[in-house]
Amino acid sequence: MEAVLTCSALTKAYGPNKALDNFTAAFSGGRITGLLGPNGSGKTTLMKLAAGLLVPTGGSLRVCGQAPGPQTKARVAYLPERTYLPAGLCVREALELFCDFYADFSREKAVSMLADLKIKPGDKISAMSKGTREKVQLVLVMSRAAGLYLLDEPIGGVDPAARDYILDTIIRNYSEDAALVLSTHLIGDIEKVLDDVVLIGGGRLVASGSVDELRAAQGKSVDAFFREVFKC
Amino acid sequence: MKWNITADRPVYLQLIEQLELAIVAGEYRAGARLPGVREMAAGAAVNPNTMQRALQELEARGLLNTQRTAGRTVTEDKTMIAQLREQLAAEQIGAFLQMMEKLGYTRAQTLALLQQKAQEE
Amino acid sequence: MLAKLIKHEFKATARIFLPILGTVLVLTGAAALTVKLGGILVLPGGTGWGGPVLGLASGLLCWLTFIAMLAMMAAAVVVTIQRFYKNLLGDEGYLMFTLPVTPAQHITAKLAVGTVWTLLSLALAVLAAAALLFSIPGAAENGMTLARFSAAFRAEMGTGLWMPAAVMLVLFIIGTVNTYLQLYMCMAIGGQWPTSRLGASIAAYLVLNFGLQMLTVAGMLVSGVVLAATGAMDALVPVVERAAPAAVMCAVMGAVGAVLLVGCVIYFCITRWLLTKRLNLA
Repeated sequence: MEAVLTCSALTKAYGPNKALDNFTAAFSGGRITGLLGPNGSGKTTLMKLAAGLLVPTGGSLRVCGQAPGPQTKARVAYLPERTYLPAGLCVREALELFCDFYADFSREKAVSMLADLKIKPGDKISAMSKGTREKVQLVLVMSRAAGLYLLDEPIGGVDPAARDYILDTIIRNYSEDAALVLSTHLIGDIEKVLDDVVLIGGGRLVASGSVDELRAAQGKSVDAFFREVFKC
Repeated sequence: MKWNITADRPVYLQLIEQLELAIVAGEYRAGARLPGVREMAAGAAVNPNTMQRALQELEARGLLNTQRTAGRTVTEDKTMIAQLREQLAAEQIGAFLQMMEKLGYTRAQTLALLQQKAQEE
Repeated sequence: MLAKLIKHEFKATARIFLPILGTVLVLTGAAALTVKLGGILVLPGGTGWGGPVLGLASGLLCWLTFIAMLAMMAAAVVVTIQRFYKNLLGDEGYLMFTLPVTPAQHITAKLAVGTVWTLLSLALAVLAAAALLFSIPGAAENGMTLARFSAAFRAEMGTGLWMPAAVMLVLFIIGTVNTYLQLYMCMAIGGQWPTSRLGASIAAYLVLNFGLQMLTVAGMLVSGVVLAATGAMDALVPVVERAAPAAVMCAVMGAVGAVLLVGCVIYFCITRWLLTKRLNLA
């Protein structure tokens, strides 16, 4: 499967600080890749660059062969860590927004997933708890048949039951040939869900490869390897 | 189906083992249809590609069949399942005997102990 | 895509504007009614204005209508600013800027909707003023006076009243667009410092306006000097005196409009560049 997202010597600098430094990696379609690194390692920056929210200061980034722009945005489903749905909206209006702007959005899928969560179309987003809001955003993103999914810390700071639900939703719904990139600093259980891993630290690439390769080469689980590499 | 996948061994091997057990134990009967790959992967909280690999391996071994429209089904071949059952049982017994030897029991002592425990349970 | 953006923008802003619009309409209706009634029900022995109660009521309502009209126009500006600031530069920007839409389309959509609401509030203000004026006793005479004034205007200026009205309207629109684009640009500049967005935006606005004032003064001085020095002033004066007043007015308004339009283009381009190449959401 060819690479959906390719980074070549990608650099993003804010003045003297480099959030990403000469980063080169490829993310293939049909595979779930874990973008693993401690806080502040550049995971969010990489995702924002791929989503078209930031512009590189050096090197290049391509999504399906194109530089980020409206055309790539139509194929990229991005789930940031924060609440990004407009405050005054109710669930029905959020569905309408996604239907309107994304041709690959499946309203039926979203509605059925929301029904499973006991969320009604008339519910106001601002009245929901943080956890419910995040689930709504996840449902909206996973109801898209995108070519590239970028999920920024989807399971961080979430209770175990919600974490299971989130992983379950991700596994069941991502588009078959799509590349799904999941960033996290808590590897634990999600190691079983990953095909490939990309380890990032201080904006630089630390290691990458398939989970099987890494475990065979290192003789330990990715979780253990991570702890070793990023020991404080 | 209850899965118990741990991080210390290759996932797809564990999937194969637990699926074989499920088939032998009758959780998936002969001829029964299996859920789709995605659903099984979600149920086990593992990567769909890994689940696919495990299912394909079982297919290669003849335990599962794939029909284009109907998906995957467990084999109708009851003899094969019976053979697998014996094989798994043999493995369990072998492992048990080895462990007992390690603990310092002789064969005779092991058999006696086994008899006694079996009557109690 | 642009049409969809505009649709969603209208939906989001209508939530705030429709109630305000409704309130203004109701207040205007009530005020006009009391004024009309007051004119009709002249009670004997009273102040000739339908008695103290009606007089008080109509006075109060007129005052409230005036306040509501001001509030509406202020709301148009505040909401337009807030939509850009919150929806594009706040957390919602994470959604907006990942839509398959260009930053230019975002700017255009918000600008279009903001201008429409502003125009609507102006139209409503004019309507309200007219309604109140014409409910005053002697409205018929008012109408006649207007017709006479219009005729006199035509005789003097060579064109009907509609001409300056149209020109003023066009200038109002261009001026509104110019103001909003200016504000957008300042907010986009302020966005370069995500942690102190508000302060930076205000600072940018103050600096820009100071700069523009300086530019205007300098421009006037320079053109004055140039005109005097080259003797162009002497050549222009007779031309202006001979030309129809309407034409002169159009020329002046045209010049002002042109300058404003150039400003619009500059602000738009800078804002678009900032949102494309220098987007830095918190």
